[in-house]
Amino acid sequence: MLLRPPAASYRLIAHDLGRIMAVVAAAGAFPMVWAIARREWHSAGALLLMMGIGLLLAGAAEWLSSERNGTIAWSHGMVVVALAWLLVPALGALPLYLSHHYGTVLDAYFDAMSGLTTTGLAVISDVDHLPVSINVWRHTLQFLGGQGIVLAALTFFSASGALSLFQAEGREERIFPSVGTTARFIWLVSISHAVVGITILTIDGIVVQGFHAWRSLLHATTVFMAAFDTGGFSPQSTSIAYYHSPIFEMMVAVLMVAGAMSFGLHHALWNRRKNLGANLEIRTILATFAITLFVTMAGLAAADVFDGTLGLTRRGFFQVLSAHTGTGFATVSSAELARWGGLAFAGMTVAMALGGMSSSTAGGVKSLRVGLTIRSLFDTVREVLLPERTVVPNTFQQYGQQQLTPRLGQSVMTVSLLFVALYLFGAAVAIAYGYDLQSALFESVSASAAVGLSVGVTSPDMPALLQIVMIFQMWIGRLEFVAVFALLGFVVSSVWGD
Amino acid sequence: MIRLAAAAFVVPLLMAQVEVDVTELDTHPERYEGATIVITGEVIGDYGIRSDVVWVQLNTDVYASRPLRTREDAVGSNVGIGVRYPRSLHDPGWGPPGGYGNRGPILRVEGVFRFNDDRESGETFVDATAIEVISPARTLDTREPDRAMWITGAAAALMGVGLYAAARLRRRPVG
Repeated sequence: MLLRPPAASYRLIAHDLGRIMAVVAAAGAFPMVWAIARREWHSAGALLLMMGIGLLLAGAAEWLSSERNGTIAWSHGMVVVALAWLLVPALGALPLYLSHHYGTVLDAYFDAMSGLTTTGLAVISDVDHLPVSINVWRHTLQFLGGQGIVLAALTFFSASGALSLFQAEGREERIFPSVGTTARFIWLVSISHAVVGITILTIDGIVVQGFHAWRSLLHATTVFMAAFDTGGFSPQSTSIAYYHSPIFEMMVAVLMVAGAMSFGLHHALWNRRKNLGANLEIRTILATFAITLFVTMAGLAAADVFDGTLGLTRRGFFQVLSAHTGTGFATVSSAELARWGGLAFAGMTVAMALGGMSSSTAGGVKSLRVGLTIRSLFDTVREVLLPERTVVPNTFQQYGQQQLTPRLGQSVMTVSLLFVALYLFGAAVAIAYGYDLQSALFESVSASAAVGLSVGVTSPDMPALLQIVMIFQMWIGRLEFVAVFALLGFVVSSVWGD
Repeated sequence: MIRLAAAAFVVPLLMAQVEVDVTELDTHPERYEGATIVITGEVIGDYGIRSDVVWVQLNTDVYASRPLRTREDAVGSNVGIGVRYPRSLHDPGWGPPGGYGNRGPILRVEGVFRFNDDRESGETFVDATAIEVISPARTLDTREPDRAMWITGAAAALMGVGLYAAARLRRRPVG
């Protein structure tokens, strides 16, 4: 029998949603500064409208929930997160749509969802003439999404059921016992990287690239936000190929790696913790990166795509790193990427599908799950082969010795299989629209794993239904299923419950 | 095999200049690799002025000739390629590169197409030897500020803050 949630649950959910809306509205102040500085008054109006509606929704939610009591249940925390990740893109899409660079509301929503989930696929028209402030807003959405919109809200407001909200956003580990302290540490890491990253990229822009100072700052800010939050939007249409600089690519690569690292690893490195070489997740990501890099390079060499080794190494390394970290920056065009068939296609697709580390800004299956899945399978085989009464110690190293329980093994395998199903589902829809298997699979994995590399399927004239499917893939992939299932359960019990 | 087939196409190109666009270069780079080509498009973004060369991005998309003004003009992504030319060819009189509120200079560039060229750190670009200015940069009318948006946004924000304050008062225990 289904139980209808009590009225108090709706009030608590509305309350937390309102606070998230307030944070998103406040984030509009950052592009607003650019709009005023660049005298982009139309864009400033669009941003003000977005901020106003966000604050109105936050105020209304606070009013409606003013008679709330109790704390939010774990499942309702999941509902808040799933709903927030559907509603925030709608709010964020408003300035995008009003910029006139999107043909339809769906296009603007697609890009807002892509930004927020740090995917980086884009259906924008003429990004090269986009108002600077709107470009900064696209990147701010990525930054917010990479950090976690709920995490941002938790930093400024205390929330009931903070732990469930935190975990629903795809963050398994708490670095500190308190969620609030963990949230503040995540911001500290991000802001430290921002200060260093933006400064170095700005200097590079002025000294090496020969750009104007303010343009260098713009490039540095937007590229930093996209790289560290593994987003993949870029201020110009040709992505990182725009800069024609191996040095710039190397700096971006460092930021992408920093973004794909778990905040637990950041904490361990900040505290100079030793023995990280035994960490299962680190070993897994290093191994999968080496394998996918080798496979891609071998494929490119066999396909005779490059004349010499320098171009092959530079392009191959950057693209595999971009795919594996889930960033989606490109140094080759979509048309060229589409020609990377055979082994190179396989290497890139697997790199995207596996993704970065858990509790990082990257998407995909994630290295810890991959490592645990392999370890579970290995332990099962070992148990079968060894004498019946032998006790196999099912442990692994993840900032200390952890127990690999059957429940944990089952859980990681379930999520891994759900990701595979999501990849295949999106590919099947694209194939139904007439795209070839390779393009369909590549784009589907790219959307689901929040990568953003494209072989040309994603474009302003793509079918609307395929666009909706990809929006769904980005949403469910970013939240790693559980929160979405909780929302479905909540809706079902609200409608049909007694 | 691909390179052999491409070579048969490229040999005639080496003898004659070919006017191409970026879509063609993107689709069939092997046909033009090492050939002298002519490409006409809008400079967008930045002038990357380095020690003895300048890097720009040249777009050959529809927006180079018909800037996006309304939603109906939004017909697709940009199509551009990097162009490198000697600093001696650079003329500040071309005007600023294209961006919001500005249509960049339209240049007709003659140069060699380099595709993932190992001698150039694996770069893909047009190595320009001659540049002709078709039209200098011009300012475009930017969208007028929409008063309704400003008023609605400000009113909504005030209402939101008011509701928040009222809710806090309502929740505060009396006495």
